Amino acid sequence: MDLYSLLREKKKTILNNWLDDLLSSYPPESAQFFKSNPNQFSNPVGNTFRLNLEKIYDELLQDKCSEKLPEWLDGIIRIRSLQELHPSLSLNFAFSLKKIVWNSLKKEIKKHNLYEDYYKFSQRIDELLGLAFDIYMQCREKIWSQKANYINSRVHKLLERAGYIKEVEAF
Amino acid sequence: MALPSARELFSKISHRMPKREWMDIPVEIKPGRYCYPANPKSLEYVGMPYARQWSPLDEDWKLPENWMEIIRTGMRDRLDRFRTFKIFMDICVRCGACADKCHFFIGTGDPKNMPVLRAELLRSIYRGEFTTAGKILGRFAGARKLTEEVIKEWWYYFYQCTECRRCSLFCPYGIDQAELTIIGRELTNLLGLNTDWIATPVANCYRTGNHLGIQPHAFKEMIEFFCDDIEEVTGIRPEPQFNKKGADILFITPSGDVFADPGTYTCMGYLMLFHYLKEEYGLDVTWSTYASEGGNFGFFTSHEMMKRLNAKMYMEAKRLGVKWILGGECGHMWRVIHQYMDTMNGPADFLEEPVNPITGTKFENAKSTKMVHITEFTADLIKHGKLKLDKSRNDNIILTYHDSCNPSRGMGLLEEPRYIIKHVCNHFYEMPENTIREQTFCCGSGAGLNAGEIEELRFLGGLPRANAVKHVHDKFGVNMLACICAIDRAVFPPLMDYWVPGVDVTGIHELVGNALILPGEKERETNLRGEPLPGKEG
Amino acid sequence: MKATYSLFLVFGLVLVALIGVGGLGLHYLFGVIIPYVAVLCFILGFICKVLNWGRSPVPFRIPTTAGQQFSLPWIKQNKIDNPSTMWGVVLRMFFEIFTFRSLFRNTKVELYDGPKLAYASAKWLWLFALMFHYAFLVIFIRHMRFFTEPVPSIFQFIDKVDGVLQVGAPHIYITEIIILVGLAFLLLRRILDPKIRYISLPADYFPLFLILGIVVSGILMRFFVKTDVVGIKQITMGLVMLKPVLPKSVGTIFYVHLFLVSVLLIYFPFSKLMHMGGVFLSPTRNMINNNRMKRHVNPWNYPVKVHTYEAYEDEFREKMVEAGLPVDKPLEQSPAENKE
Repeated sequence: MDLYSLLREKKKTILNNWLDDLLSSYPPESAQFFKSNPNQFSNPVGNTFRLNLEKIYDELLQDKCSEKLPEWLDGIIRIRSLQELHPSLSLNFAFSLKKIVWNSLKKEIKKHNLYEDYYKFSQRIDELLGLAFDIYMQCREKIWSQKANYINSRVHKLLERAGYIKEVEAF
Repeated sequence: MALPSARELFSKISHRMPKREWMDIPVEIKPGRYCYPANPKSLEYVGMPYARQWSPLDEDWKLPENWMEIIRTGMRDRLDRFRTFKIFMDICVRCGACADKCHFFIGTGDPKNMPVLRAELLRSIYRGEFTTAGKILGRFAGARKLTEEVIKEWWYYFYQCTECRRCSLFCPYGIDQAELTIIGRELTNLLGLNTDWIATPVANCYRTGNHLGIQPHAFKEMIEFFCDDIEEVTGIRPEPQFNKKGADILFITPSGDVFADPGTYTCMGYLMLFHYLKEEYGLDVTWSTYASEGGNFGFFTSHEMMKRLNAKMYMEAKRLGVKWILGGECGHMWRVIHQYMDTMNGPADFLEEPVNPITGTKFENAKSTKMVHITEFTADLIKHGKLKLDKSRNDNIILTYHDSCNPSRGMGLLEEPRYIIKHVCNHFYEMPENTIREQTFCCGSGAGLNAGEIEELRFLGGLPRANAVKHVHDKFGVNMLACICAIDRAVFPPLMDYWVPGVDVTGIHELVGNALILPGEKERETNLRGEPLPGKEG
Repeated sequence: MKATYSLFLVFGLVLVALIGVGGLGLHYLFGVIIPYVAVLCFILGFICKVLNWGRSPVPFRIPTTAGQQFSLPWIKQNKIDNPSTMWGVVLRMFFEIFTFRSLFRNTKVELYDGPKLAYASAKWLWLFALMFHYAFLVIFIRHMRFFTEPVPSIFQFIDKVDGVLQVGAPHIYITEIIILVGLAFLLLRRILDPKIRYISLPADYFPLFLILGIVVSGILMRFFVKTDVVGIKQITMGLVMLKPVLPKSVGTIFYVHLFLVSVLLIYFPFSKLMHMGGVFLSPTRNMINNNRMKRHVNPWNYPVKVHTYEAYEDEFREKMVEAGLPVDKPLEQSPAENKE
């Protein structure tokens, strides 16, 4: 008995709990909508969460994560970083996987003494977290760089209109 | 913004929202979700009441002393004047068909963004103040008391609605949330509660004719600047006319096309088209610096303000003595022209029933308002083979088309732009059916919400649209999103940059401008953006 | 909570009728006075409400367009969803009212993955709402045989069709099953779907429970607590002919049924049930999209303060002349210039 086969076996329950946990930060009426409408166009948020959590989970079960992992994480974080004001809440879903795996498998882990496996797995989650922070910052920086560019170009236009830019260019 | 302590955060994590009724959940004004209040000077300039400095984050919004009376009278007055308001207050059965149709609900998951609930914010007060059942039964009949909290909630949520009418489409009784938002905003305006991104453009449009407050000479300069660019690309310099009396047609477009990329390229497209028609067929078009804003920010303020700004179009057409008016690519501008202008500022009996002088087509559908949409005009020209086009110049573009809310659900302008697209572009792919045409998703920034301070909200509201674009981007390699709305053209570039990098934004007439073969032009190396044409990359 | 309130309210109403008729013997009150008051209340209330709506003008023509407009002759118009003629509107309203066309729009789902059932709920709303409303209509028409003598063949025919299954004695009406299923769905949806529960008011549960009470009391009367049908017909005809009679043979259950119907009639004009009348008047659906073809007149259109061209030119004349823009008044004559 090893942890990874347990993780595979209980994939459905764990994923379900994971999604529920992620959705628990929304009011129940919205959480239900995000969870239940499977149309990818009329419910982009819920479907991105559901599909990408599964893909992330599958990646974690591989020996080595593929380069697709950032893409799956990105899908969720791009939304969460806009919805939540606080970084820790935006990325809470990455933290919570440890708790969910532990809650679902603690009996088996104790029974078969799989602590070392669990430790290794939680290290992978930590790596995931690092990646998540990088992506989170990219998203936020994108927004702020857009704001900065907007202001910049506006100032530039004003200067141009005032006739200052040409002098600089001539210089 | 102060971050909460770790303890506060932990108390929030994994904590399901308590099951409470919406009336018991006080509004929480979140930064990033509201636009800054109006600059008092802007309100004063157009004579709006109770102009003052105030902050949404403050406890005290400095409401006028008799604010309750103002709201009551305001509501009664509007109930008497708008059958829509009365009926929409009475007949909603809360079936929930609209609930998940709003892009803001889909994106943010804030349940008060469900259209039905946004309307209930008003309805609950209507019941409590104007119905016997509500006065007697109170909460049981769905009524609540008019408090300052309610006003805050109104202000917060009526300025989180883009008046896109998608919910109205699915409502079995045709209840139109846009209409309710318009009336709700009128009410908040009575108390001097507005947003600066609406109020200042309103003042600017009123004074200088366009939303940025660009003065007449600068307006002309900008357009001449485009002519320089066109000359550089094609070797031909259009000679646009301004404020010309006795021209055949007055052309009005949103000023966004003159001042903001990539709308500016669309503007070049118009200039080239008019130049072509002048050279080939002698068409006489004039621009106006006075009526230089097609967009109507008054529409986001009140019916009266909308009328005051819109009046310029007919006044200018009359002064210049043109035959009819041609309107550029714009969303809510066309909602106003199509559904309000003739009623408010008509009849336009000083104009002629519009006929395309080149093809002889009578624009039957515009015979009273006497204003024609430029895609109707251009589609007619193409149909009659009056334009020489080289669509291969747009071969680098893999296009999809976003139906702007107002032309689609307030007008039904669906095929005309598509017809033009098919004649100027070889690679065109539609987005999924439940995201286009009458079911189109809003850009998330209409109705005066295109402010920088609510970018997060706008990006979430734009997510359903971006998500559909992403689908065709991944599937067909779509790299360009076409639209016929100046707000779209302003907000989609950053929205796409965030959600679907690699998709750019264009107006229909930019594509036309690129494909159009001007008489005597040199061999073009680049498109209007200065990018090499297909086959000229080397 | 909101649902429980409403449920108990309906229980309370049943109890009122039971005590009033069964206990206190107020047959005349429950069999004659209240029904008359209720009918009067319904008719007057309905008319008042519609007149009240009608009193407010429709200042602007704002149809929601759900298809291609009428424009160039070679572009195919969607004549129903974007009508440019009266006939188009008539058809649009017909489909709206008889097939709940807008609700049906919900069902269009093209690409999706995952469990299908969940999304289909949107389709269920259309289906069950339609079932409920049609069953209600047929039951209403079917009841007309109690209020007519001789019974016109159309009512007899509908009665016969409805009972075509010929199951049980007396045989079961199809609509009895359909309306129960419809009601159950509409109720459960309100209670179980968090989104719908969130937006629901007590006023949304109450009519559902009330109608459920009416249906259940009707069914009880036919199958379980048998009562004298001939006597009922005497009562109903008496009410119609304005010569009320109250045969003793009719059991209390009938009065419960009648009382709940009376409550429904009284409640109707003051509630959201007025959507029955409102749907005909909704300006976004019943207006022709011929906005640019025919001028719509707003009765309260009033003059507003505008910024005239003259004022504009006065402000910018100098700059306009400098930029080579034509002006109405030459620069020399402008007041500002004269002062200098």
